[in-house]
Amino acid sequence: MDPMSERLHPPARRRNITGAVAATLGGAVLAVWEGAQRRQTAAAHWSVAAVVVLAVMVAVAAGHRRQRQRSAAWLAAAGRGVRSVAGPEGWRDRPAYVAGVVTWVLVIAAVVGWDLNSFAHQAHDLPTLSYIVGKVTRHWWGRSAVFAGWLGVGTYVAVGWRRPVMPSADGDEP
Amino acid sequence: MTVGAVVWTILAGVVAAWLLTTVSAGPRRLPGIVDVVRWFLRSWLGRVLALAAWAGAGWHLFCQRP
Repeated sequence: MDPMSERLHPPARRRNITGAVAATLGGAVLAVWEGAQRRQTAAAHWSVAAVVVLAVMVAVAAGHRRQRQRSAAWLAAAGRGVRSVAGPEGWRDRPAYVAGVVTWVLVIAAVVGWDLNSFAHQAHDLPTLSYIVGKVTRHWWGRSAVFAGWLGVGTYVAVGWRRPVMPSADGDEP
Repeated sequence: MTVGAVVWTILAGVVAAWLLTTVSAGPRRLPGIVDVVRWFLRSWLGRVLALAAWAGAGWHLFCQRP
């Protein structure tokens, strides 16, 4: 590509970097603004709802023909994974990895289970996870920081871990 | 310290220790938190589930909790 053409049509990589910087700056400004909102206000509700809708739209636009696996194949692989963990083959072939998967399941189940238990009791001695987070988000700086983290996670969930090659019908869904 | 605070402290320690263990072991030996998230993002169904959980958490934290 000659220099004149490059000036007129910047390479995709440069556009991606510019877009990422703009999105990061926009997210930071939004997070600072969100820190000043209160949970019961219409501004808080509309801004969170708008971010969710935007994330869904971006996920659909960025994910067109770029999923790594069909949902049916993903479910089938999950089933095979469960059978592998439950049976002797997985433990024999990759004991450390299977033990890691089992530990993840136990850790997540413990956190979710204890949170549900605390929620069900509604007791002062048994705070839920969101109550603990609420002690941070009641301050503007805490609300901004947690919101920024939430935006970052949402961005990765919406656009991250896509298949890099776009034009292929194999393994994609409509 | 309440019972709930003690349990949450223990759980936070377990999660932190497990995260450190998976990071130090490397992704080929032990699945890390990124591997867990990426597993959900492999298909549309998993991604939709992850997006729904993320959206629900955001609504609860920023619109319902103080």
